[in-house]
Amino acid sequence: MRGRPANLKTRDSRLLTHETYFVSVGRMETLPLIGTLVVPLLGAVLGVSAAHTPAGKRLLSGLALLNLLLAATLAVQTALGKPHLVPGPWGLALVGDRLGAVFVLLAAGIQATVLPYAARCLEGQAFGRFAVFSQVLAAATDLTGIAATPATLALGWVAAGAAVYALVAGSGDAPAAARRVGLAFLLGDGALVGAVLLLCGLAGNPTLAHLPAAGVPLAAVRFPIGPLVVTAGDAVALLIVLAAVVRSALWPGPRWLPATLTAPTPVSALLHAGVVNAGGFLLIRLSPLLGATPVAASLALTAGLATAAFGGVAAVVRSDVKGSLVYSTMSQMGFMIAECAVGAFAAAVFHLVAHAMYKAALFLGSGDGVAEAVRQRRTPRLRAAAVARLRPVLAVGGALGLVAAAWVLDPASLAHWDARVTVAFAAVSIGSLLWGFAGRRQPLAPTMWGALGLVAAGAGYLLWSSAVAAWLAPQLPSVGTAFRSPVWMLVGLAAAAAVAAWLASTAWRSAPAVRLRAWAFWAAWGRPARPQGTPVAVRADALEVWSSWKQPV
Amino acid sequence: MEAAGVSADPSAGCTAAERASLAADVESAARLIAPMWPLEGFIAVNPLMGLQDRGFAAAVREAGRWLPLDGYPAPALMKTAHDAGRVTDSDLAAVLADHGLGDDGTLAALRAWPRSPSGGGPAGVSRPDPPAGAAAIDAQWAAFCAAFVDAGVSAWALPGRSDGFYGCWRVVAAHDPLLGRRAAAAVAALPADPADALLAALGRLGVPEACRVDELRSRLARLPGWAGYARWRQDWADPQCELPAVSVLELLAVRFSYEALLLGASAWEMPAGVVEPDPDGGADPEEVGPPALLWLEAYERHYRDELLGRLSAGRGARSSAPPLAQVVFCIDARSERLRRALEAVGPYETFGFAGFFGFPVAIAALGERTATARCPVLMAPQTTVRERPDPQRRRGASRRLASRARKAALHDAWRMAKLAPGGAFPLAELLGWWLWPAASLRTAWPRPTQEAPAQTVLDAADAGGLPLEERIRFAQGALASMGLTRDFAPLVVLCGHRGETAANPHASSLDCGACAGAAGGPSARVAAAALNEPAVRAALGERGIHVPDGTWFVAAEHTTTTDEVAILDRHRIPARFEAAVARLAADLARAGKRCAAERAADLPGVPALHSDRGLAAHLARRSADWAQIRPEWGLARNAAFVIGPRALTAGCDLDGRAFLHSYEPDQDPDGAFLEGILSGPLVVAQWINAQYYFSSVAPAVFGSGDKTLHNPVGGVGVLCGDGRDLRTGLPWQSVAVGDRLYHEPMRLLAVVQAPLDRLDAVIARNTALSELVDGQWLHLVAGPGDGSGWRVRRSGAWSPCVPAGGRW
Repeated sequence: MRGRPANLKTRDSRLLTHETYFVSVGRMETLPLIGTLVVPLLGAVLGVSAAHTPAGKRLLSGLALLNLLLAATLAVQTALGKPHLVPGPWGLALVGDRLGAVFVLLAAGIQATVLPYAARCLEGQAFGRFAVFSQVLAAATDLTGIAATPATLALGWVAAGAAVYALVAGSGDAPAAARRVGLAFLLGDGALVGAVLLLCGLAGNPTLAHLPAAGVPLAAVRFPIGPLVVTAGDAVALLIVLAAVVRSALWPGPRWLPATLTAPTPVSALLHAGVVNAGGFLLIRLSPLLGATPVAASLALTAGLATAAFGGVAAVVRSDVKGSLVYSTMSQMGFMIAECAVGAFAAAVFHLVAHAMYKAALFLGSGDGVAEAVRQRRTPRLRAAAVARLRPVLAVGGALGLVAAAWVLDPASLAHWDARVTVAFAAVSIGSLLWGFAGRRQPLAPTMWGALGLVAAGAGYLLWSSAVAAWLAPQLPSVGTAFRSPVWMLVGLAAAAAVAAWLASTAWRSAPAVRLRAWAFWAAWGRPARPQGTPVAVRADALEVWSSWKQPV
Repeated sequence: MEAAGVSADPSAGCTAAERASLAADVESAARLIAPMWPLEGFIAVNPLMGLQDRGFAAAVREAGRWLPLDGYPAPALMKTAHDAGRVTDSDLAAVLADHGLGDDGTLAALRAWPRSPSGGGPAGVSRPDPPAGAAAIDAQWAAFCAAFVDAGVSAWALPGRSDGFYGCWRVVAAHDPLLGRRAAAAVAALPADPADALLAALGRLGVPEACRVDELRSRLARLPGWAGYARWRQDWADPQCELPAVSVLELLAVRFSYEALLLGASAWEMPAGVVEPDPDGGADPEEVGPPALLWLEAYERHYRDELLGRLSAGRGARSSAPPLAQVVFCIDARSERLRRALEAVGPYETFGFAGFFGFPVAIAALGERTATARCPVLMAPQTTVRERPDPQRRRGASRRLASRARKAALHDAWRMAKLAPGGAFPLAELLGWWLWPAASLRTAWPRPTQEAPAQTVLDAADAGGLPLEERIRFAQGALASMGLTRDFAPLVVLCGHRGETAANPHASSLDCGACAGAAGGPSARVAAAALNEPAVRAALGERGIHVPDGTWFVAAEHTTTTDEVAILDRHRIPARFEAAVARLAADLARAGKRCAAERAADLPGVPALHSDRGLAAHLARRSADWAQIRPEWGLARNAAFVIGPRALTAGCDLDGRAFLHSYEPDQDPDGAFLEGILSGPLVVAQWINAQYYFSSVAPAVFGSGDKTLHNPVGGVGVLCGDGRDLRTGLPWQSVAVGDRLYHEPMRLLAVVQAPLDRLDAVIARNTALSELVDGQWLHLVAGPGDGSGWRVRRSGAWSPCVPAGGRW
């Protein structure tokens, strides 16, 4: 942590006025920004009084739709021009830019569907409570997304944490789960508040645009710890990473996400509306503060890749639908944080949004789990010989075809490591999709058409993700030198592929593989809570005991 | 460690006698737990069926020794009922009089009970304290069950699965963090056979043989869900069942191995606060129960008086016109409304019969690899009937097959991409853009996902189906036992039923219980095909049942969530019946609308409407809505089972609360049909009734909890919240709204129109039946059915039914 990065802006940049970065806009244009805060709060007020009447429910759904409309308007506004700033009282300020608009649009979009879902699903139950706190959560998430200063962001962040705690604690009979969520958020949110206090104390109350300049006063405060010298900037960076790691439920943070299964299905879906994925947003938003501390990015990358691997394994080990979804979310959050740590901000935002929609939909449909399992079991698995022979060809061909398509569509896309990472992961995904697709008895023609369709979908996905990235890029913070190389993502992918190949080969039943699988099973089901007086290990006498049981008594 | 060398022969462990006595103890301990059928075909059971021989009150008390349950309606519920006049003082007085306790002081004390409940049900019984560390062991035990009982949900199977439940546990437990560093060595030293392991563990802990059953039972009570699955799998499942095999013995072997490893030698102590084991295993039938039981009896008696009053008042004026059609419905209580509505709409005669229509077969639907049983679980299916495309009309069928295969292949593709390293991340990025808009549409405009319409054949006469002789036998049995042996109408409709819901793990709980928790339509199609077969008809004629050529058996299916009735196999109905079928379909649609309007009054969340059409649209949306946790009330509020000719109930509004079984006492002099009804459908109805009863009064133990917290596991059942034990019984939302019960917890009231001596003979012949009737699991009322002279059976004797308040 000793070296100072070279790319810090000079002191001059502190003298820049807001107008250099932001355009001022008229009162009407600030409407979407203010509206995304006011409308959900109106919903919360309505939820207190009228959530149980049919008209109240309709009105709540209508407000959620209105909020979605406002968020969409905001996105259009930012698409048309530069970010605009709305200063507020007490040093708070709002900003309308593309990153924030996307985040708000995601949150509003998920809310707009989950709210009417919950109104039916929680019929006769605590829908009022759900309505109130989900709308508080919506306002808080919107505030996080459109905060123009770190202090504003922290305010939204903490409020969102409190709302999630209230939603989980509201399901009543699971105080232990709520406590786990509460303690985790106390740690993570405390870290963010600490970072913001340090920042504000030493560098005033900078807007996001001034964060690069804030590094200078932060770097000036040094704490020697033995041979190391830790600056206030390092402390801020580490605290921010801690906050992101905890909120996104990364290993080795507290396991609060599995505990939320004690809350109703709509709550699980809502967690994807800018709660669990807020860690990635935070790292991108405050990335200028990380630029001076390579260790912070390294920690985020390590935690991200480790969680991506662990969560991915736990998700395929769990036999319960929601447990599998929860660990899959953890894994995906690990991937997202790792993307942030290698500076692939646009890719991380794309992932954040798409995964949130994917997983929220799967949670809402989790009740289909029984019927789906039964249908899969009852449908014949026999393969037609021709298709069986084609299976590896299809998989490898599809993966290569996707790479080729990426190159044909945009030769430049393979020039950067960022893009190469995206293409490599997509190729693995398409290859495995095709491998699975060709495993059921189907005539050859539909199989081939289906395979072609899947590759085309993969190519479309690459195009779409690069278009979204290109749209976001101008308004994303520049990537500091402290961020790691995207090659690390490929190293992680290669390592996982190597382990998978080893497992898929004959080693599946070998002793190390069995140990890995057994370990994965216990890890995926979590360590048991240990009440007082619980034995923690096999008693020494048990070993002798078992050896002697066979003797005639 | 030396000792290991001493015993070279591993089979020297325990003798056959020891094993046999252990097996008997395990069997005895497991009687606390009822089998739990996978949700693929939900079967309502009496959760205390294993204790049936003790009688209701004693069984509830015994269960209360082990499980945290009260077993009777809560005092608050009784208080509300009393305030609403649902139970009156005269009901209470009448119940006391039944018990020979008539004085006012007792009545006053009983009346005061709901306001200051004391000495209630078995809640007063103290349950044994859990052994040290039990909660930590519970968590590992249940997690292992959840991972092992997995019919293809997780992509990474547990290692050692092929070694069976216990063998697999030994492989996995070697790395169990709860067992710590020494786990591998300790587990390796365990006996390889579960019975040996259980005996050794019990021996190590020092559990005396006299207390063994109680110890085993108390552990099963800590994991009732998975223990219920094990009971189903070992005692009730089809031998060819593909779901993972678990036995209660293996379950206990794992449990006690944990305890022996963690607690060490001679850790067992006589648990403090245990009630002495029940020596006689039953209570004195004459003993007056706790106040809660007396209140329950008064609550039931009130309903009994009301129902018998309605039956006497109803004396249906039946139209003399020859019926357009005879419609046979399932005995399911939900059919009662539709039958009443249909009879009101036109000249129709209706019957009630178990919804498998007497053909105990398994059915493999088009494009399905495996067949599922479509008969009551008390019977074994005789054969498998396979649905096949109609040879003349293959297009629809091949479209359906192709779409099924495509869906399955896409699902496989999705699973494989999730499994591939790194594959899940682009997968989510790719699919999110499709799934969320689809989810939003599905929430805003729920639409049923329908399979491609296909014209198929489902006929037991196909190769591999039933032999002709069997088809004749089943056809004859069905017609004769429902009393439909002459005066056939031009159309005889066999109407099965199904529930149509979305994203509902308990979907099959709304299907037909007589078809083993599956849709009833296919069974109706099999039965109708057999009854239309010329060879079968000819043989029936020889046996005295002359079905005229002008009669056609039509299969139909009642969708209970929408109250629409579909005519099935319409393409196989001869053209000469076209006009009659068209009229029938129109009348069924009208009847369905009436039925829906009646049902909608009780359904929460129905907007204040409107026209018939608006209601139909609402119900259609509701049944397709994945956010809907209460698509219909199902069998909630079921209360009675009426066995007799339709004349007994015609014109009576029974609120959809009664199972109705057709029975003609005159055609059954030797009581054979009655015996069939009482030992089959009545038992099924009692199971359903008891399931609803216990899911209502003991939702924490015998209900499956809050539906919004359900988490499907392994393709077999649900967990609730972050719990790890399988949940059994009905979701809370199936019996209640918020904290208000909708179901009225009562024991089944069976009303039989038959001579008393015939009933006595049948009951005397059937042990299980006499346990049910004389053990107070249900109330049996019988009589000649002329409106007077109903008798109720108490303690094996018949006494006149006198209404509490005077006359009906």
